[in-house]
Amino acid sequence: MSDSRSVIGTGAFGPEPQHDEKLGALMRDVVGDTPYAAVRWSALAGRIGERVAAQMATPWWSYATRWERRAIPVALIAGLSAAVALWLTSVSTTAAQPMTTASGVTTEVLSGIPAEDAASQFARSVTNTVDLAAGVPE
Amino acid sequence: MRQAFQLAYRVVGHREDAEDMVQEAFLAAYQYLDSYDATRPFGPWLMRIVLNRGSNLRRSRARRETEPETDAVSPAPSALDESERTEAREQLIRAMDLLSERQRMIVTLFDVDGLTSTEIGEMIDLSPGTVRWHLHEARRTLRGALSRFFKGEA
Repeated sequence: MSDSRSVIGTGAFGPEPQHDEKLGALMRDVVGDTPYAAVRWSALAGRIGERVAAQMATPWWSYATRWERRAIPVALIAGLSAAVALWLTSVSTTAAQPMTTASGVTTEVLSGIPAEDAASQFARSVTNTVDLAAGVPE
Repeated sequence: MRQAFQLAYRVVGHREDAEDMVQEAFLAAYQYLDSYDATRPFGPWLMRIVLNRGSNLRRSRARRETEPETDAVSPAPSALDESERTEAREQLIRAMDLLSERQRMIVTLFDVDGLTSTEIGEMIDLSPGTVRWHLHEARRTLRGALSRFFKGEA
């Protein structure tokens, strides 16, 4: 085994290789040593502590505030859509199923419509809204 | 915290970025403490967070073109004169770009910072054998690119 091979190492299954002083020196010129001395450790620890403390003090519902700006217009649009949909439904229901009332029949008879016709219209109106199969109270 | 900073610095190569990374990693560790398996050592878990943050930071930021900040300039004994040294430095930079991020980090932690394969393995959650394999490959690439400067040793 040559010198260079022992410096390179023998891979995964070999023993722990030696540190390559020459390559290390060249690399140090490029990447530098880790600048421990330039770090203000207490300030760094303080910043980390402050952010963790702030995180601890943040109530869970504060996350909802992130969505407020988006949620308000969505809620408004949904509310308006629901109101329009309800209005359209009520209009079409009213048009499709005119309800004949007893007072309406009386009015029609008084206005000259034959009583039998008015009564049968009233009966039809009532039986349309009552399930006869379920039984009608005597 | 020193170990986290060392790893962060080797990933991003800039002191302030490394400090930010350490800070973010500790905050993330606190946020995701629920996912930490208490039966396993805390250090490697934190280091994995540092590595993930570092990789994201590297991708998202343009590499800063600043000189490395060192504690002390400590050139090791070298037989190279100044011009050879400059040339070797340029070739080394190009050769280091050929390495994977993991290989670059491992060879730096081993040959510049003087860590052992076991220490590096614990730091980045690899077996010492895998670390030695990456080290072997990285050195082969670097020494291959710098072969004329290592002629006497071949």
